[in-house]
Amino acid sequence: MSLRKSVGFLAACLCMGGSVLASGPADGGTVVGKVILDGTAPTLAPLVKSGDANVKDKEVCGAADVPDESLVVGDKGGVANVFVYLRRAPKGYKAPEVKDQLVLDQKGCVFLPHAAAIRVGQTILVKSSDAVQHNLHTFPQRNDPSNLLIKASEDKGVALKYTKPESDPIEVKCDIHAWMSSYHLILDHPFMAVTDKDGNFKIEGLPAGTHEFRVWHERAGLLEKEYKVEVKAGAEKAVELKYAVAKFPAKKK
Amino acid sequence: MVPLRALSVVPAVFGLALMSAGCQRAEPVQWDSSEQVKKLTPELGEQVTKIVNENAGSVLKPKMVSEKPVDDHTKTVRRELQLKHGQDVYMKRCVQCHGVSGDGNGDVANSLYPRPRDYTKGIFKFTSTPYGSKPRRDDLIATLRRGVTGTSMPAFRLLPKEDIEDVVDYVILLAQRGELEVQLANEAEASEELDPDYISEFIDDVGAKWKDSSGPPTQPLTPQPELTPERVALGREAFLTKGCSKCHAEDGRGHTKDNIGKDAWGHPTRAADLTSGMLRGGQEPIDIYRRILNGINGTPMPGFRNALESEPETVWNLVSYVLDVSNRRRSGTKIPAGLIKPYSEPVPAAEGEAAPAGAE
Repeated sequence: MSLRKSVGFLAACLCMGGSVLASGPADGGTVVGKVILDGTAPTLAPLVKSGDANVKDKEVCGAADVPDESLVVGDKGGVANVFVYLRRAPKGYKAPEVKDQLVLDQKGCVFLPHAAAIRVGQTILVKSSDAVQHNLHTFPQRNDPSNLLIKASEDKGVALKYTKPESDPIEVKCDIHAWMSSYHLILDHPFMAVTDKDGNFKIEGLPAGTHEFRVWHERAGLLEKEYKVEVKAGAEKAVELKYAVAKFPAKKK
Repeated sequence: MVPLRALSVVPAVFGLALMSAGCQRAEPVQWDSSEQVKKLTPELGEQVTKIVNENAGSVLKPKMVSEKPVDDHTKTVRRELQLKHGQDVYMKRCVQCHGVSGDGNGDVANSLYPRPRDYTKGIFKFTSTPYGSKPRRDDLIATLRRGVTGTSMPAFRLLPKEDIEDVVDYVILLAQRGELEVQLANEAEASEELDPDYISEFIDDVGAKWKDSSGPPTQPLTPQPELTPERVALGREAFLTKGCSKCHAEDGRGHTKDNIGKDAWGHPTRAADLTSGMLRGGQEPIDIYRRILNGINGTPMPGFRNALESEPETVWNLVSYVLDVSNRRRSGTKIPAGLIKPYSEPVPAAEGEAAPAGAE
């Protein structure tokens, strides 16, 4: 850290007090929530049927059904793989450095995880449990695109890094197996979450104040552009987000 | 020298503006805003255009986004004259296909296949740099001199060195302008405002991305060996086992039913038919080597560096095989017509409508 930056950081600490700079869940506020589907979830046919003889690399990709994960609905209508995030960190907030590595895997010609929240500068290790080659092709708006050939059974992992924040999640595909698709959200702050299989999410350490969250799903696009939540320091705020099934139309091929 | 060039440059610009209108006052030639900008609200669109013009100038006074003003009058004037000279060459030899603002929508673009490159995304395919990076200035010069085999892009190797150097700078200027416009429009779309606090980031980004365009090219992992028939045979084996055949097919023709993707410009694209003998990014072994190691920007062709780093000789074996395949027709081998599908599938009438739930 340069001298000028450290002075600026110090000044920010002094004038804004602890709460804005808080990064631990103890000082900041928390938002917990659930994203719920209003209506009957469609039954989605698998992208590749088990035993399909015509599919590329059938020994690996056709070994089991490849599920269509474009709309995953779990317990009590909870929608999985929904991104909930702040478009930008509150001004003056200094994000803590990210140390955790994220491991991406490709198994049975499916990206694992299907949706990932990633920090700028975070090291991502791309592995493959499949005995065939894949390519990991990112389609960012601000970052330089990557297109890495991942060799068969890559167990060491190929490093991937994003250097800029994106506005909304970006698609990450494999061109060799065209049905393989996943989504990455890259931000320069930690206030983001992906809903779990039952639609639950939790965002911790938020500075006190009113925040405007974006809510995004791959089929629906932006469900919310500025969903306002008031957060109090040290408190937990519960929200429920409910969307009609019509908001999740099938993707255009 | 400088005053003489100034004399020759200025009338040419006025000439352009008046050319088609005789004595009437013609619309001056202008850079066009992208479709994306036109779709923004008029207010946001104006803001985007204003910032773009502040940083990239105008057709009458073009500026390189990445170049900050210098406190040296002679240097500033010389640079302006270079860019104007590059513009003169561009407006004489390139604009017919690539368009005034470099968006690939020149007058004849619709008659060409593949379409002329749209520079405004800042993406160039045939580079000697890693996937996702900008080309080196020398890559663009090489493309200009060599032309692009198998496309409508001719070789301009007879142009004077000065013309080539300056027109390449002008193309880079158009690419930087286009990219800044795309980035600002993305930001305007996402935020529905352009917060002045964040604008300088986008301008600096463009400069930073082009900073290395005078840097070194990707070097081979090992020196080039003699490309022997033994290496061709080993290369064929690697071609079948390392992933190449997944898209280019076992015979290198790419004639497989699911060999279809989209490139960064939204056009359908296929893995190259290597037997065509027309390798667009150059036929030299090092050109093919770099294509394999780095991939091809804006396309599904990935970089194999990570996969092949531990066995660098395999890359040269693959180069040997690709050269061998791409020279087969020249050496008289008859290659039967293969399976080929039309590039554009008929668009189903129901596209755009949501499928009823449960019927997917």
